[in-house]
Amino acid sequence: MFLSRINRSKLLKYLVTISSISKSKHPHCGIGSEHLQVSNNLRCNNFSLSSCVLEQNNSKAMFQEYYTAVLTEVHSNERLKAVTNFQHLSDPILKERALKKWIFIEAVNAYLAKNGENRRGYVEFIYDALEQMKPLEVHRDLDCYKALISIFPKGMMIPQNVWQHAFSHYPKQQDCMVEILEQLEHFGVIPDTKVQDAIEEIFGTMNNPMRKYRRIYYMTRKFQNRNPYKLPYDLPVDPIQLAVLALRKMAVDLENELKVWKVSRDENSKEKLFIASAQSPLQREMIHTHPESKPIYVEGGYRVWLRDIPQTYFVMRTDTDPSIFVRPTEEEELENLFDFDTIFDSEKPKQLALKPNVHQQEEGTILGMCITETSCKDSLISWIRCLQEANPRLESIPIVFSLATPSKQALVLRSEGMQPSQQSTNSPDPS
Amino acid sequence: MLKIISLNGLKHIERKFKREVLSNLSESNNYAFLCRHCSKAVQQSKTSLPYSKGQDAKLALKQKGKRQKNIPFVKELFLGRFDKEMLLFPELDKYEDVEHLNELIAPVERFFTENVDSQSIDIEGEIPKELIRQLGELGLFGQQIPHEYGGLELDATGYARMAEVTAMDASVAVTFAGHQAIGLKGILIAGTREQKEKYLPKLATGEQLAAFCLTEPSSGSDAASIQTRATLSEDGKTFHLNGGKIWITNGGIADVFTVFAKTEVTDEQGNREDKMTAFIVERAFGGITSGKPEDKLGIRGSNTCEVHFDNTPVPIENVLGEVGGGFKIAMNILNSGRFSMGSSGAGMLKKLIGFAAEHAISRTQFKEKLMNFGLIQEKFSTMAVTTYAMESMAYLTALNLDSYVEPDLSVEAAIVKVFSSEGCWNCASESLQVLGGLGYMKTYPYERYLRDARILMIFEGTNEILRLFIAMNCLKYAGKELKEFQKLLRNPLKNPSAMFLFMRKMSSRKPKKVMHLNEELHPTLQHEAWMLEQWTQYLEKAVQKLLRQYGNSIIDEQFHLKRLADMAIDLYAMTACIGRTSRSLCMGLKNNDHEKTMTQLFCKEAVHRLENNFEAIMSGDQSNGDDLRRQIAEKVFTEHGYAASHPLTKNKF
Repeated sequence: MFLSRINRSKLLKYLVTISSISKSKHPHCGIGSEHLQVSNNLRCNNFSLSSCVLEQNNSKAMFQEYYTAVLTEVHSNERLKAVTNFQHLSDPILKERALKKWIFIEAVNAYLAKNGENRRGYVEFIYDALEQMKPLEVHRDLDCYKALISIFPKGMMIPQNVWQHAFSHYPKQQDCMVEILEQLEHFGVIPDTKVQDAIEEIFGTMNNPMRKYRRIYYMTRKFQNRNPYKLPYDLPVDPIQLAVLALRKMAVDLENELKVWKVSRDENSKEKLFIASAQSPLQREMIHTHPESKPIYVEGGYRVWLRDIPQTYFVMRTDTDPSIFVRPTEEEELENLFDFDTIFDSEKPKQLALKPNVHQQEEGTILGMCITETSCKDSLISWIRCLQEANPRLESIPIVFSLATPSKQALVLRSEGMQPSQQSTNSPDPS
Repeated sequence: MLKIISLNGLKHIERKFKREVLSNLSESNNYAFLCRHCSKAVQQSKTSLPYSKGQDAKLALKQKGKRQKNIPFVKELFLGRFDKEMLLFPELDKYEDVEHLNELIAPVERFFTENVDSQSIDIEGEIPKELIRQLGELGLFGQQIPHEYGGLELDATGYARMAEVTAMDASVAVTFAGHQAIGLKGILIAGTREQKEKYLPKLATGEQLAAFCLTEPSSGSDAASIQTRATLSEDGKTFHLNGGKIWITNGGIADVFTVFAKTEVTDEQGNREDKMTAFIVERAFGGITSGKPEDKLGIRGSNTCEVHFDNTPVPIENVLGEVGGGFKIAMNILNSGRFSMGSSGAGMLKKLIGFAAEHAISRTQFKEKLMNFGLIQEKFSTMAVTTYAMESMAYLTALNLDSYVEPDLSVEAAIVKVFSSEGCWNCASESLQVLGGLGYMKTYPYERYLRDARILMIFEGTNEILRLFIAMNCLKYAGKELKEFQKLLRNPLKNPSAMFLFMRKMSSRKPKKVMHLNEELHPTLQHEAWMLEQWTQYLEKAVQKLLRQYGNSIIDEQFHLKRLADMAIDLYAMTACIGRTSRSLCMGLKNNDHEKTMTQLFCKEAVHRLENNFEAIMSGDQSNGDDLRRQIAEKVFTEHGYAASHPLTKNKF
């Protein structure tokens, strides 16, 4: 967020220079050049209403229209396009997000520029903008909320006497502000003290929006670090990193090792698909001592959510020996009462051997977990092949695939049938 | 004085009589007990020998005067029973024995003060070969080896006394320990006659050194998890050893190794199983490589390195004990060597206290001698008392070891080790503190002693493991006896009489004077005797509470096990101090009043610790903070380290 703020100011600097050029080239033609002027004039404080085209046509234009106007201008104006290219961002998805945010804020600025002091219908404008935030993917961006808050006129809605205090002063506007805060809270955005200052300038200190703000501020600060599996504020866009995050969240063994392999789809294609796999030394040890007569199952795909992004994962499971969960009956317990077998008495004390480890659950023993790019059966077979490097015993244990997706057939894999046709390359854990 | 003794003696006899019958001892001379305090040996009059005619006459002669088995003192404490005999501090049989021992010690002591340059050993990181040869000439490499194999044949007491002197240089002491306390102990304990004849003479002179190879990268305290393998060849005559051992004391200079390895054993049902076996391995067998000596914090002169066995052939005659019986041998070796750490620690501390006292007497600060400052006095009192307790415990244990044929004193030996290793570390640190900046300098020996002392808490079983050892063994002993009663208590409605008994016991909160321990002691130690009795009873209460609460899973409750072990340690230390002081007072030894004050202080402080531990056990996990400890540790582990936010952190918003 810090970065984006810096870039924004940089951009605006560019804008000033661009607008001064474009003003001379095409004066008063189209929203685009007008918007540039708006951006410029807003900062120079000498904005004139006469330069706005939209004003005469549609003074109550909703947010959507302003947004489209700015968007078209960005697409049509070559200079602007170059500026909003966001060269520092490598990923196209991130670029698009940054652009959307920029346009959103500029749309609000354009609205402000066009509607001047009286800003008629701004409550409706804000409601419209709030609705558009999710589709525009700016719903987790505090700057955008702040831009919306800046639309409210300052000072005029502060109650001046006891009656205004007693009854909600400008109730529609207050509700609108509460709605902004409500949405911001809903999407897990934490308001900063600048928001408080803004509310104070608009509505004064004692009012509904301020109460809402205080509550959010109090609770979110306490909750923001409570999640033991805290995700970064902006989730990565790289699917490998997402997979690694998901696996890290699920793998309970503290010694767990995450590995990412990249394998090609088949011999001819150069496209590399990733397989992210989580396995701990303890799990490898359990595979090493696994009897060849008992099969290992690969099951899935199960779903895990990273905030609002789903990931499909698969587990390698085997049946647990039920005897380790059998608790001694009361009679047995009484019979063996205080009949300890300590580590100093014998080489293999019986009590020590019986404790189930963290992977041994009653419904099965988990031997590994993975997330693949395609989530298809072939990718899981590749996963098993990759695992065989560290677990040579997997070659001789029968492996049963029972997948809920995409086909429901079970497939039995044996070592004879497996030719290592696919080239696998190891790559270190990306994090 | 004599009157008291004889009065006490009469009661003593009565009780003793019962015990004699119980432990199948055929004969007892009552008069002997009267004489115990008067420096007459009990043992001489007790000539019942458990040996049949066919047995080795010499061995029988050696065992003459020894009783067969002792009542395990600390284990009994867990049942609330106090073996009063432990209050009678044992002593050597005759005045001549002491003289003889002193004669033996004197040249060694002289040699150590004159010829052993600890500082250069520490800097060089090696004991000179010449020095080892000279030590061998003194016979110090065969302290416990019998005369017939060329050793000094010291008993436990003599060995402990010798350790006190050899501890002047920790590197040498550890080399000795690696050689004879563990290295060749296996041959002494479990070796056949042939094995002894073959190896002991050379080991006794120091011509060959021995090493004890148990620890492996994957197996430290957990001896049973070793990976080294010994496979029997097809002709059944040789084993082939494969594997690597680490941190082997004397590993680079030893010629004879006691090696533990897993072998395949078939049991009666025909199941094959991997079990530990002990082997005597000569370097000459081939296939043995030693790594380069490890660079260590302390005991830098002792040789510690890795030892690798690559298909080393070991003839089947070199199996120690029986195949598959290695675990027992390893435990026995380790258990038998621990008691001497008390006396060696005390030897080191006595020297340090002397040095530090010199400094405190001569140094002036603020126009006042250092010795007049309360904070300095406190340090010296702590050091002296700790040393006194350490010494008392060590010799109580050693002397008892010598007076039984099959002594059951492994718990006591572990207690000595835990107490003295921690005492050494704390006191070495305190003595360094007395000197302040000077103590920190390499020109003075304090920092070396401190570094050397650190290993004591780690080797021969870490103190944590030994605390578990103490508590678990005692609980096991107590559990056997409490089993039936606890069974009844688990169903109180069916067994109202048991419940009634239990309720009555619980309702009497305060201990009652029933043991009359003061009757065994000098009258001035009455108060200390009462403390001892009181806290024995409290210990019993704590044990019963834990057994009742946790049942079989008590062995996993390590917080409580540690507390029980600490209580046992303090009680044993109190017993040793009180017994020794009583003896000194009765005999009128030099500075006996000083001993008395030290015992009084030690008992006071020990009771403090006992109180804390008892309260913590009785109050449960919520109030003694155990649940908090668990939570904190869990968080640290899930976060892979210190988990709290930095004090300068602010939430971004």
